[in-house]
Amino acid sequence: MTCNKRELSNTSSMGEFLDGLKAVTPLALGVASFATAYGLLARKAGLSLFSLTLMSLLVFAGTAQFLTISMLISGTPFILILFTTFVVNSRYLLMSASVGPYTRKWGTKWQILLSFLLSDESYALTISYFIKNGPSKYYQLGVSLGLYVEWAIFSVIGGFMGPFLGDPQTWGLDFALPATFIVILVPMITAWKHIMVCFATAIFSIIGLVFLPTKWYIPFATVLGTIVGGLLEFWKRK
Amino acid sequence: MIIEIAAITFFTRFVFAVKPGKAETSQEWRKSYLPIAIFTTIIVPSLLAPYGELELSIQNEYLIAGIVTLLAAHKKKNLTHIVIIGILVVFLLRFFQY
Repeated sequence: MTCNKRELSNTSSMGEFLDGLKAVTPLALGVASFATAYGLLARKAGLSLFSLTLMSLLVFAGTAQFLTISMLISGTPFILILFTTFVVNSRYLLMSASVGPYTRKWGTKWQILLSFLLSDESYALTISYFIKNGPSKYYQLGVSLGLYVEWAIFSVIGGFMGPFLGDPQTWGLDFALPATFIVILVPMITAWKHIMVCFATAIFSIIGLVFLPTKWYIPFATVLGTIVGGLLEFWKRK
Repeated sequence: MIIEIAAITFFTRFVFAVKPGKAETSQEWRKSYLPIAIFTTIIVPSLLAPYGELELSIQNEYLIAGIVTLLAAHKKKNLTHIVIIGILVVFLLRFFQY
């Protein structure tokens, strides 16, 4: 983005907020189908419409919610559900550490709000915007709130319409999420070092998937992949 | 139960955001490598093991659709189109397999 754009959007916090909302539209389909599928599965697992909506409003984490539902179905002990939630959400530790240096300057209220609304998608959009245009709390709020509202609405729709929609797998809608993540990742790769980090992380994640229990491969591969990136950087400076 | 899950989720999103980082000087490289590592970690196992078990075959529609989506994302700019292409590939592969 150009400097002009930055100056322009800086003059209006509303403009940045709307930019954030607009940025969500390409992801809308992926999020909507994921949320609908969640609502559908939650009803199948025996959750009431109220509980599944409450979960979307309070937890607002797709993967964790899906895992909880599937563990509820398989009768997993509560403590293991909590533990798995922590493991699968451990990526948020890294994401929040990554946006922390920006959000810290905006005060506790903003930090609580933006942390609560942090998700894979909002992180991806926000961090690429911050790198290009500099930090903006209103942009992050626009992105996060757009995703939050959409997630809640489509969870309810899924819960309501579940029995009539049939199986989302028949239509390939379950692929919307991985496809969305691929679309987010590809523009981030702009150098050979990025490709090497991708490959290293891919190998670590497969090793982790095969040899580590449940979702432990997530923190394992993310940390090791980032270290590989750091080493490449260090090696280049030497 | 929902409250506890929500609390854990919020904790993971908040704790490192407030901790004044000593590592802030090294944030520069983390900014660009961390997101790549995170998304690779989410994507790769979901393509290679969509149902939990490693499945390196052409029977794995996620793997084929993933490769097509990757190529599309490399060539095209419109995000919605790329996602639709991916979904369409999975739909067609399933349609013809059954």
